[in-house]
Amino acid sequence: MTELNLLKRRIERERLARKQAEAILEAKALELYNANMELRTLNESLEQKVAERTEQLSASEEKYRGIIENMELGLMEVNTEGVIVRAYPRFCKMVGYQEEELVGLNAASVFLPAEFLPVLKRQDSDRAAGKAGVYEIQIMKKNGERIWVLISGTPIYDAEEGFVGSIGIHYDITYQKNLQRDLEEAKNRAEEAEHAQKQFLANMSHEIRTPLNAILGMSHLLYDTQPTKEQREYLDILKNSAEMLRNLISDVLDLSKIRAGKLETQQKEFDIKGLMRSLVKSSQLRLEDRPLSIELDIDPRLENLVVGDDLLLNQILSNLINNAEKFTEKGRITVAAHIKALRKTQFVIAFTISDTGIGIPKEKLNLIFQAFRQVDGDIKRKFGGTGLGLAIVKQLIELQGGKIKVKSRVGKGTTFTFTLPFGLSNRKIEQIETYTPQYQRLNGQGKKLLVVEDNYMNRKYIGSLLEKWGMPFDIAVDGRKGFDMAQQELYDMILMDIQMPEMDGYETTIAIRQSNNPNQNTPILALTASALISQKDKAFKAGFSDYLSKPFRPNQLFEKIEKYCKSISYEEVVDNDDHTEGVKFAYHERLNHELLTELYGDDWGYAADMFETFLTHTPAEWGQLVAAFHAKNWQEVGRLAHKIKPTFGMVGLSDIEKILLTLEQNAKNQPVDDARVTQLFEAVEQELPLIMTIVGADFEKISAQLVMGH
Amino acid sequence: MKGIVFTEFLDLVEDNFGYKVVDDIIANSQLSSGGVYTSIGTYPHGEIVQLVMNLSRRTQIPVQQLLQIYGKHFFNVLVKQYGHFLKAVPDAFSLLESIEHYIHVEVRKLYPDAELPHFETKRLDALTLEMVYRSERKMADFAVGLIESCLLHYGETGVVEKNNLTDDGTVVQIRIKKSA
Repeated sequence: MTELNLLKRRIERERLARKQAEAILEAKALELYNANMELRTLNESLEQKVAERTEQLSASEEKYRGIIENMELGLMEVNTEGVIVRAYPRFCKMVGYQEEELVGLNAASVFLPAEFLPVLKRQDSDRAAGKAGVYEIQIMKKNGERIWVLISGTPIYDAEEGFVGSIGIHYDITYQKNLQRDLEEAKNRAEEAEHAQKQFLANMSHEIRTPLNAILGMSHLLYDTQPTKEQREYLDILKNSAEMLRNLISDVLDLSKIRAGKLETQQKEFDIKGLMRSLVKSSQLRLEDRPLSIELDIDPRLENLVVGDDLLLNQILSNLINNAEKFTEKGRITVAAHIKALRKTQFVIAFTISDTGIGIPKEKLNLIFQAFRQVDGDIKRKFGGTGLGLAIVKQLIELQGGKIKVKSRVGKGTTFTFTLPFGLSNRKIEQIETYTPQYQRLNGQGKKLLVVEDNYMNRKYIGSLLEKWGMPFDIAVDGRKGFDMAQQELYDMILMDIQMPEMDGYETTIAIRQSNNPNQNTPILALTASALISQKDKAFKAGFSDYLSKPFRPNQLFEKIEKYCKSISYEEVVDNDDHTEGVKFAYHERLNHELLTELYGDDWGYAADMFETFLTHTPAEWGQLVAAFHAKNWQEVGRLAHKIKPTFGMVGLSDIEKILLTLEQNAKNQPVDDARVTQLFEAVEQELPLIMTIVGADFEKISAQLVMGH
Repeated sequence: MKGIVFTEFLDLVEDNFGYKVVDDIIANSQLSSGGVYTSIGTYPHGEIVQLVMNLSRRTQIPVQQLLQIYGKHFFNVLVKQYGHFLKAVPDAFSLLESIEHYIHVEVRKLYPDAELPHFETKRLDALTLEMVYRSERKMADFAVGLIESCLLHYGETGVVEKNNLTDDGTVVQIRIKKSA
């Protein structure tokens, strides 16, 4: 019984355990089934997603390919060997091939001109290294024509094989390339032209200046030839016009120099007060007969020399002063300089030039500093000028680190204000405020004179006299050099020509009198070509001590020198009876001296006229005679010989005159002796070149005599 | 506790003492399962403790010894069922060292609810392995049985020493010294 119960319990336990296990297994099976189902769904959706993605990808690939193709971009794919794998329609159209013709061919050998092979090689190795690149080459179309293409190349990778080739996007840039080439050519041409133009301008300026200086020089010489009042007027016009032209050329050259950055500023000590006083004094002299005065207002603190560029400051100030003079009918011009800022090593000076002139309309104020601009055409007609002055002034100021401003009211006047920095100097300006005509009386030997004279013949004349009298002297060939030399050394007397280029005698004398230099009180003798009272007045106002009218005789000059250098005893060496010996002129030995002296005596003007007439007319007249001779027109030969004969006599060629008389007679006497006429003709013909040379040379000498006043 | 521990235990009891003893220890225990076990089920841990203690009372064999014997037996059950996992493992130490980081990891994949002890291993020299057992189940003796059986399986001989690191038997040092 117990055994049975035990067995029953066991069986019951086993049964329950089995059911329990079945239930667990059932649950596990269900779990498994569900998991499996879930997995399947997941797989399906994954596959679907992959399919969708793939479709999207190829659609977008097609889309971009389509876009690129539509953008005139030609696509071509090559493999790693450079063999064409695919050529897209736009590319085919670009090169004129069908795709079938291209696939399988080597791209380089189809399209590439030999000279671009290195470019492609470099690109190929970049592609193999995985680098993309953009490059420009020429390719050949099917018809042999070349086009320029911009190629963007990029490597193509395959999932299995890796680098399989590359794709190139081609853009036709032939038009742009040609345009670029044309532009480069045009640019080169323009640059060449500009260079040539600059060269031309520089050359022309030089070429123009050379003859212009000759014109100016000659006009200055002509003042010394005792011109009549009328001739002087013509000379004034000639000189003024030539000077205007030279100023214009100088302005243009200055401007182009400034613009090319070729103008260098100098840094040297100078007397700024003296410079300004000289400018104002010169202006006073010019304004003498006008109801217009000029005043100077200088900051009393300006006690020392300043360091800067005196030439540029001079150019700026004289430009502005000239401008004020030009545009002011009456009233006053004020030139002022005031210290604006004082620093340790430099200071800034503000300069003001104001006038009571016509003024500038507000709307035109911004134009006045522009090159070649004047307020209006009317101004140009009325006042002249190049329109460059203020442009140069502005640039010269800015070049030195300064600024210029202008204020103006129409009908009231104009004020230009500019600032310039200067270095400080420790040297004081010597306080000689005004020149007083107290002449130094000189004592002792070894005193020296300065001769400022631009005329070579005059220099020779004065020089030979001074040498003869045993007086040491220096020579300056123009006013600017004269002023420079006057700053270097004390002279006992200065002999100063009036009409000179660069700086005339008045300006030079004013500069010497107004600035700090050893010769502020040295006697200065004006050598004027004019004896007019007004000229003498002007000379005294400029600061000359005395004047001497040209032409002067040696003793006249000696008296003047003696007057101002009294105690020097030159008397011993002076031969008062022989004033002219040193410069005595003798005709060429070929010429008849007696006849010429009889004809002209000391009347060099008459002699010069005759010699000139001979030189001017003889070649033409003799030419007519030569023509008649060759035509054997003896009557005409006789007539011309008669006509030409006296001219030869007038230049002292008495022998030729006689031959011509014989020729005339032989040509007129019937029957004509041909041989004799020929002999006489040839005698003159052979001598003529020599004669022309001799007469020419003597004419030069006579002219020189004329200048000297002998 | 996995059902296989109960079914294999009861089978062992039946083989050695007859079903009468099995019925007896079930009847004397308070079992929520009613003493019905299937190897794939999961049952409260307290039930095996009651069953082992009742067996000890009934047979007068200490619990410690019973667990050790059961461990020895259980290793063979595992070899029978999961023997193919052991093929790649060359010796006993290698198997013991792979418990924590390989065998238990795989067990958890199969039975996410399994509650497993932790083992730290350290080779003291070529023939000595030290293992530290940690479990709230306090069944280090069962582990010692398993280890002894494992040595036998690989044809190795040696001594297994047990040393409680805490009084309650939750942390136990087991030192295995193989004979050369």
